[in-house]
Amino acid sequence: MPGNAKLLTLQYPELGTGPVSAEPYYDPEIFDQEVEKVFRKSWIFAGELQEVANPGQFFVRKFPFAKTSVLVVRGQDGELRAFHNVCTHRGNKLEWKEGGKCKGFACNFHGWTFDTQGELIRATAEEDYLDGFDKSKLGLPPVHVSTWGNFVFINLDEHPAQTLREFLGEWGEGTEAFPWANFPCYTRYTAEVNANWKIVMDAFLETFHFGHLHKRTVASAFTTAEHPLGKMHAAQCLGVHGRLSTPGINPDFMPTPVMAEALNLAGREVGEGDAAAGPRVGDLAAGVNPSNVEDWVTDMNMVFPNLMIQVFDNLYLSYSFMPVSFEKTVLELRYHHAAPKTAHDAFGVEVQACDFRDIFLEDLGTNEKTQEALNARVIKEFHLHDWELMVRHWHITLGRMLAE
Amino acid sequence: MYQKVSGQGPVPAQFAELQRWADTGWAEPQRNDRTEKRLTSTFAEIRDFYDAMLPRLGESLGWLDQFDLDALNDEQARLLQLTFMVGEVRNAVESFGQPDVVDGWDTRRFIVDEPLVATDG
Repeated sequence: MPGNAKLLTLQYPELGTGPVSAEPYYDPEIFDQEVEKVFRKSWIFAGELQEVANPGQFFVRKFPFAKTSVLVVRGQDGELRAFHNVCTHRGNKLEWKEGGKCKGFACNFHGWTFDTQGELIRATAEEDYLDGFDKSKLGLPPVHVSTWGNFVFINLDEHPAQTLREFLGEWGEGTEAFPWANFPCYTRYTAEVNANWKIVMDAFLETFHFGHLHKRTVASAFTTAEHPLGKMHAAQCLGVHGRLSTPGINPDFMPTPVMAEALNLAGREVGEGDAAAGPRVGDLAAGVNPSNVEDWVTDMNMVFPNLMIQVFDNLYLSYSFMPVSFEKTVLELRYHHAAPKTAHDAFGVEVQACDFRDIFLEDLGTNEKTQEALNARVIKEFHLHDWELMVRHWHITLGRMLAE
Repeated sequence: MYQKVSGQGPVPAQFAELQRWADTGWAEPQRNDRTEKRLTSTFAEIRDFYDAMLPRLGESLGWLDQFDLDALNDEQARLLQLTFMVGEVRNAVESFGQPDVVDGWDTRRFIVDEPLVATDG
């Protein structure tokens, strides 16, 4: 056992302290188990509530691990529903657009038409179908859907073991009050990465790499001579979910002139919240900044199994990691912010959008090379540092689910 | 969000010294085009642009602040797009010392959408 009692990992004896297996990162059979035992049974992030705020609004999302496309739609009755995106006539993909607003869905093969509540309202030349045809039983195949905060989740299990609220548990209760609606504008980044979904996720679950991988970019804000790796305020394991809380610790950090304009320093101090967005997120009573520190900058929330939500005072990021195969992942990131009101605001958004892009490119830089190297099956286990606690936590959590 | 205009055309008269940058493709309206401009320019060209813009950056934004962001005229919008290009290249100049991210993933495989607003459809 390690002797340093201050180690965060020791707060969670159930996670153990030994190395963790590397095999789930390159074994296709383990990937298949993950799909069957976790992804087909868990609540999975599908999109954001703002995309389906009003009757008739819909979005389509692919879940490649289950080879299905799901249509999420706000019915004319105001109810949110989800369906497999398939025509019940001959199985054509029903809606081909990514999203929008409509009065119903017409299949472009033979014209069967469904309303926004999923009912089949028109089967072409209805009188001449043969035995067993019953319009009332040919509605779109339903998928369980539920919402939390600004987020829409689906569950592909026919009988989910838990409601979304039960599934999100203590973590969900703490964070639901976030002012999500204050950040209605967003930039979406998408990437198809030739790496296991866990390799891609792990890169965002620890700050241990900051001082090294990001030494040219963000590291200067988070590291000092005294703390060359930065600091970590807290890592919380909350059931299957978790939270990593990070301070900005460099009091001598000097923004470059471009960054100073992006922050509009004439108008406000670094780190100050956007006045339009209300009180600082970091000052909320629950669900954020668990150590209640003055120099709080950001929390990374890990929502099992494949969503992360990173909150700052004046913006949030969502990260969705969609497994495609054991060595392919579709990553979708969104940078959400308040609506810019001035040229300075708009400039700040562009700088921020470019900065996040470049940092993400640094993060992704190692992913495919790691997969390539791991596929040699030489590395059997990973020795995790204390600051990689969240990686350990969700790795162990996932392993337990597969063993059940 | 705010309107986009062709990168080719006049910038406001008091910023006439920046005109040559608009004329040579540094005021493009789309993020992808700005990224392509960076990736297909030499570091020296990027550096020249950055050095030319920096002394006028705060002044440009401060002047644009007085107008309604959603109702900029073409010249004003073009100037704003020039400032966006500074955001596009700032890490190249300030962090990487080369046009693209050092040891980064393939920029062209990383799809960046234009800014979106969640609306009522």
